[in-house]
Amino acid sequence: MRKLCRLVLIVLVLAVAACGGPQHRLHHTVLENPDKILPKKVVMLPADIVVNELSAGGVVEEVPEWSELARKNISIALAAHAAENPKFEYVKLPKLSKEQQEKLDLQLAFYDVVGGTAYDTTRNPGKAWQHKLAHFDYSIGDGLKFIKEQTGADAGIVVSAVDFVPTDERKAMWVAGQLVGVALWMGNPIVFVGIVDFETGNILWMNFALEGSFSDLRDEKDAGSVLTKLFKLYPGIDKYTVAKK
Amino acid sequence: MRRYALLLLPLLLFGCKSVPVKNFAAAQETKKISAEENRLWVQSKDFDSQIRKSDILYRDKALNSYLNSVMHRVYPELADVIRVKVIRAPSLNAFALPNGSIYLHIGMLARMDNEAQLATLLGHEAVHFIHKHGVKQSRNVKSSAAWAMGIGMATGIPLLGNVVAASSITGFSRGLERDADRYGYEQIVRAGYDARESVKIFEKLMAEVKALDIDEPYFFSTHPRLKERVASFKKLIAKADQSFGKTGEERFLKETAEIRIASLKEDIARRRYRSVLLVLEDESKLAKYPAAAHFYLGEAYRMRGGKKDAELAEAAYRQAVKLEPSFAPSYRVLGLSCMKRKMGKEAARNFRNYLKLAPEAADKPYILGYIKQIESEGGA
Repeated sequence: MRKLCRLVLIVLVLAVAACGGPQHRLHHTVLENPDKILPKKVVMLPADIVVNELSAGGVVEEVPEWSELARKNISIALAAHAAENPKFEYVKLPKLSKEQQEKLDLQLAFYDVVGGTAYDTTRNPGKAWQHKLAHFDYSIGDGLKFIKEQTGADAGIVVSAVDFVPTDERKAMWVAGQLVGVALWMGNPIVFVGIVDFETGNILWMNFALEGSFSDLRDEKDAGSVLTKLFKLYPGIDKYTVAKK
Repeated sequence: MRRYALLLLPLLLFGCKSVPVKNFAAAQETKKISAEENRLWVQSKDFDSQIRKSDILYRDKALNSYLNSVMHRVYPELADVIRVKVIRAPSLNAFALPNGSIYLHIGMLARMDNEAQLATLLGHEAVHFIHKHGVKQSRNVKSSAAWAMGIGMATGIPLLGNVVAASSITGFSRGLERDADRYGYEQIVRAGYDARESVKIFEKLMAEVKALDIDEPYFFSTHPRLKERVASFKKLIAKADQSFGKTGEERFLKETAEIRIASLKEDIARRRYRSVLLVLEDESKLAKYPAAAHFYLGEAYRMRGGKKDAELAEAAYRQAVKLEPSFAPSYRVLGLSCMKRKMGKEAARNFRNYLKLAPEAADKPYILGYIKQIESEGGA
């Protein structure tokens, strides 16, 4: 189910990328009372990372080993970021029962939908929907409260990403295309990160990155660089206040 | 000239690259699959998981056990690797995933007459897994897309490239379906089934497509035309030189009785009354259904709403009550029908019978209201 939602997010990102306004999103309660609302302890929730092979003819197919590698790199990158920039304390996600895992999966799928809607509604609000951006207020409900009860953490970090790795044949086609003036898409990593309050389900902060074709989430350095870039706008209160006008 | 050299590019890139695909011969071989196959297995597992979490999976342990026992009879060497499951959909369909999951729609199951026909279908679908048609198809899609890309770049007309790719994809798929028909046929004969039954599923599909005026799109069809399949099965049967095996009708009808009713219920819920009439107006077919089928026949007449359909519907409902007196819905519709015709006493009696059999019915307050209304009018 999360893969379907991710496709929606991809389309929206590409649309958002073309529009003005702040790149990240901040819940209105963060703007009103950052010291109280911003989390002190966070859990990294299971990242939803898919790395696809992009064939010569443009056929996209997930490669499970690559996805696993990218997932590992994102985890390492987050841990490194936490060590160097201690904005909050990381807590490990405990082992969950079958029912708890199913609940978590459902909540994360719900997050994809709510997050996608949040971006869509606020990407180009115009006069009529300006309040959606100024008073950003999206929630997934208190379904993840059980994690707070078990770990004492205030919030969870949600990471979703999709990457496309062109095959050698695709690269050859790209070269051939250049000769005849045809541009071929070579795939871009798209990474979303968000922070969700466990008590209220409020999406406190969201950001995304659309990287260049040569960036590769299977590479530890590239994954680290994307995460650093994303968290540069955390919480980004001043930049949000200026940009949303 | 340089543009047209692009047409050669896919040939150069794909010409000698593919590693041959070896069929599964035994269960342990499924533990050692290539990275290419593993991709498809992971996607299949994801699909299985989504179906399992949804409400379209038809959950019936006894039925699943029976279906898998038939599969094991046809492919004993791959027992426990191939898993048969049922989807709650009335359309006539079945499909196999690259990881050995086989899904049958309840509509397809309900159309069959016996175990030999079931074995034909299962035997066919299993070949898609055993002969790794998923891998072959995936390779073909990718190389077709590459050809389409080359053609598009060379000619500057991407649409033409896509159409060429599509037609080459359908041609290749037809080959795989023929492979599945042929090999599946050999297996059901080996398993001791009456091979003459194998052609009947396709004859039924053909009759239904014709009667319901369903378009059988040729160009983008992923199956050989039904007529072709009927012809090729008849050729195979004509070649057979052994005495024909069992049909397994009795056991099949017993094990699938509930599915047949479930399929009718789904058809009626989706207003597919023509499909219901096509099956149940044939008395020989109706006789193979549980008695409650008469109720659904009545519903189909009611939905069709033709000149004499109200009478036909009522006759069907009364037959349902006569043959299956514990089936509550029949009394409800009879009650409504009688109420409409101002036959208060009979209406009230039918409503009371309905509530006796379905005391927790969701529409109980309404039915009680009707009874009260009839009583106040002096009709009960």
